[in-house]
Amino acid sequence: MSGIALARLTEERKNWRKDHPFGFYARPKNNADGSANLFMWECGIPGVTGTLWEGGVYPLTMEFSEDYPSKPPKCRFPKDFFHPNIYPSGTVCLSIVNEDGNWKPSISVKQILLGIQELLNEPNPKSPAQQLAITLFIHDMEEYKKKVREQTKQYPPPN
Amino acid sequence: MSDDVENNHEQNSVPNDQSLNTTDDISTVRRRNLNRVNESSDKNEQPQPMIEEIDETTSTTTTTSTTTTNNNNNNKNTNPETKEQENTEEEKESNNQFECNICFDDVSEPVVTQCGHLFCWSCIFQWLQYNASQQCPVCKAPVTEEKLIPIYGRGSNATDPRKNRSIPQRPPGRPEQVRPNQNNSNRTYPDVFGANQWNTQFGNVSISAGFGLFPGLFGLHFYQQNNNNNNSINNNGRPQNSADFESLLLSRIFFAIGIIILFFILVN
Repeated sequence: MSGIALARLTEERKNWRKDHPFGFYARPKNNADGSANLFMWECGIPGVTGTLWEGGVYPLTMEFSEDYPSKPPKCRFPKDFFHPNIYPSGTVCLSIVNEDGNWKPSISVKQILLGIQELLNEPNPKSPAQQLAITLFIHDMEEYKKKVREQTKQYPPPN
Repeated sequence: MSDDVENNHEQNSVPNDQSLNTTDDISTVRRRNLNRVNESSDKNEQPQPMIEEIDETTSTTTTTSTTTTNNNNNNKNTNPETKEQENTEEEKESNNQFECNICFDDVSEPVVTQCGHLFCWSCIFQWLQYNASQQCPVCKAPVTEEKLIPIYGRGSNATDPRKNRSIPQRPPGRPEQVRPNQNNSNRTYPDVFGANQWNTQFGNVSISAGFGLFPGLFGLHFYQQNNNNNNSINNNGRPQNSADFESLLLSRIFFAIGIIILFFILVN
């Protein structure tokens, strides 16, 4: 599938440059020699306006395998990112980016990023991925909100 | 619901070209049939997929014809059918309706699935190799290589993309539906309670004595066998043809063997 992976990523890049949702960014990382590595993307997801997450742009790396798009990319926030559905490693637990879940090859990078943006303010308590955030989310909403706001300040939008 | 169907019908009957009219006639006939057959609760669900099917067929016929018909088609789409609205929005947003759903590039060697999704042959082939559950990469409907339909545009090379494999007759363009064995399960019931009850019971007992563990399984096997020869069995449960007689005889022999084995076990 590797031939397809590269072709598809090229298309994804093209489509993203043509049109992408406001406030987001997504670009392939550069290799040491300066060429673009299409299999590793650096993305930014803005918090939805009017929510706790507003004002932050959260950095996310997307790692594509040779089997993409048969396999979903691995989506990672920074380590210890505070959210009920994000593993301590930063890996996002979301059905649409889960190979055994609802992943389909027809899901685009844009759709993934929008999906994760939605997940930020609408955590799914049924599939918790980290102890701290889920405990606070269920038992201490005030503390949870405080933590989220602190984190928002930590990730200001890039200039 | 029937109103919707009516609207749709009228809307489709704009005489764009000959093929449209024919599909329309078919839809009328099918609609009548549907109304007759589905008096029950199915009525609410059944017609919807039918409409979509017809829409798909009509839109493909129009797009493959001329640009003028294409315009007509777009005008038509402004009617409040949600699915059609989505289509027009997609078309306005970007002109990408002929892109492969896997590589997102313009399709090369296009094939279409039963559920109507377009792919490059090489893309869908590799996906089917990779994906054990054989699902459509867009809607997860079941997909098999045999049921893919190659698309031959004008001027393109009309060789089957599924390299050197002879294509069976093209199946009609409607999505494969997952309805496991509804008819079969209905068919078995009358047998269980019906005329050959004694026979099957008999078979059931004998097999369970002979083989021990899975009486239910073997019993079921016998139901099915009788099922196929349903017509040849009298009301009093006597089989008429030799095959049935043999199976009855066999089951009795098994029964006897079972009894003997049981007897030995008990004696020892």
